Amino acid sequence: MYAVFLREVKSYFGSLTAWVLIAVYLLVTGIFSSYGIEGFARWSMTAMQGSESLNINEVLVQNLLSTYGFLLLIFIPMLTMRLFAGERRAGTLDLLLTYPITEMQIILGKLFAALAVVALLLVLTLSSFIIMHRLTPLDWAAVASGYTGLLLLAVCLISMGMWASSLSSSQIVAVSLSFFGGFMIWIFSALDQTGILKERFGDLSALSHLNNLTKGLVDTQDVVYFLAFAALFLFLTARVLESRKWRG
Amino acid sequence: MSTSSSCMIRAEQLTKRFGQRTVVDSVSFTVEKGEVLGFLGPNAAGKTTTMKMLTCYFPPSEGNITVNGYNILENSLEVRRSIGFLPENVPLYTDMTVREYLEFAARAKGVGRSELKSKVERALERCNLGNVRNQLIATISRGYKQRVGIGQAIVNEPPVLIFDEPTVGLDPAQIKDIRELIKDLGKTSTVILSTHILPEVSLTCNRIIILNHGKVVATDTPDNLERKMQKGNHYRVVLLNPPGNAVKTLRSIAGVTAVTVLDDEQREGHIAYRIDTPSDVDASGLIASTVVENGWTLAGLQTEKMSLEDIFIDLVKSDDPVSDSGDGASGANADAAGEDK
Repeated sequence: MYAVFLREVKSYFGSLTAWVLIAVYLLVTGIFSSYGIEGFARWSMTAMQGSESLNINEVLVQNLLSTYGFLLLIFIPMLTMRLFAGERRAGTLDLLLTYPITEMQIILGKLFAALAVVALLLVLTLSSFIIMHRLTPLDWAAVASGYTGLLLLAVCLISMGMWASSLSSSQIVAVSLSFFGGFMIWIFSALDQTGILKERFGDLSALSHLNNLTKGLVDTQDVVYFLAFAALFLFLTARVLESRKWRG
Repeated sequence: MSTSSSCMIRAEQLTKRFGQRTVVDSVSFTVEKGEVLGFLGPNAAGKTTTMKMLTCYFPPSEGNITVNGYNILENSLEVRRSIGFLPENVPLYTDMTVREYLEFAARAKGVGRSELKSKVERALERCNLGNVRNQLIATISRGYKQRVGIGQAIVNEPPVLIFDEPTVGLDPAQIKDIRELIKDLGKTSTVILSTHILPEVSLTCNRIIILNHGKVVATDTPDNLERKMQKGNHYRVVLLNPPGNAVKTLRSIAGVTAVTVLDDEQREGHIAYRIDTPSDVDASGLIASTVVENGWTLAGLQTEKMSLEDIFIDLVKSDDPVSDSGDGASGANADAAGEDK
């Protein structure tokens, strides 16, 4: 597993893929954060003229973390699309599958490599919160819980993207399918917020579960949701890789 | 069949079906330790499928294989550890350097950290890759890529090496190099290679299995095959300006069963004949004296052996009249895929 992990990480950072994705992600999140901070400053000024004071965690941190999560829906498919599709096209997958490693080891090696890129990217976004902390004290526990949520969301999205990538040798198919998956996740959460959906339908969306964590609320049901989501797609990916045994 | 101690690979009644299509049909063979075995057959004969079963890429629909004493279904990982495989078209990670790639292969095959460097060095040295070790695989020549492919197969020094079409797409000098390398590897490992190029097997293999339409058509050493399939002697006689009755005269020589006029003689006024006799008759002396007695000018007389090529074509043809449509298509696909990279 370590060999596959190391190869994938080298491949991400040896090419432009990881660097460009990280740079663009930081740029976009940076824009959101700076507008957010500015907006918060203006808003709290007006609020102070009244007697209430605004809680930065409720108003800003939560919203930013949710936005980061939404952006992962767009970025992770671009990170995962080549994981298996690229290897299928090059034929290297056929060789890899004859090495003395199991399919799950290959899958997990790739999962952790993509996760390493996302982790680095998330660590770098912490800079926004460090700047905010200098302006007004933050509740770091809530930020930590939010980042845990983002990592869990990343595991889910990588698993889903990897499954999409395992289906064919086309990276376009992979990226389209994962975008579609991301779109479904987003739309369920958006509908949930409008209150159209009945009762707990909104819970189908990974973003709804992320929201709890960004509030600093670590609930086992959310964690279980993420892990089950990821496990499902890892399992499906393994089944796709095994389909060679009867499909040829 | 031999005792299991010297038997490296034993395949029993291998059958592989994809849906209704039977790609490999009850193929059985054994490979002894140290043997270099050649799978010979036209495209789509089942060579690659058989190799993929040996390397645990997919299991057979029926039948069983043991490699190095391990069963492919029960001890798949041990079997994989015992085999170095080079697939057709040599798939490599082109974004890595040669050394990085071999390190990856060694690590993936479970070579420990302490041995990693030395094993990679040894593979680089055996495949003569020293001077490209730090180059990106994308930038090296086809011949070197082939060596890198062989390098990843041998890096953990497995007892069995399986090469699928190892010389396809190389120029003649590179083909010669790779053959030398395979011969060299054959001294220390058991090797199976597949090919549809005939000289390759007679040059590199101790034993040949000829496959066609998923079935074994023949198994033997190259020499034995030639001997067994020899259906009599053939002579090639070239005469300068022979008279019209030459065929008749030649046909009347004792023991001659057939005389055919060949149309492959280029020189002006020369005509070539093929004279067939049973294999126990040596007619060359009689042919020469007949020519001289008749006052003809003898411009050439050769004994022609049935080559491995003729044997192959004989075996493959006799088996089946409808063949090429599907094969041609798959060959074209393979080519297209090659260009794609």
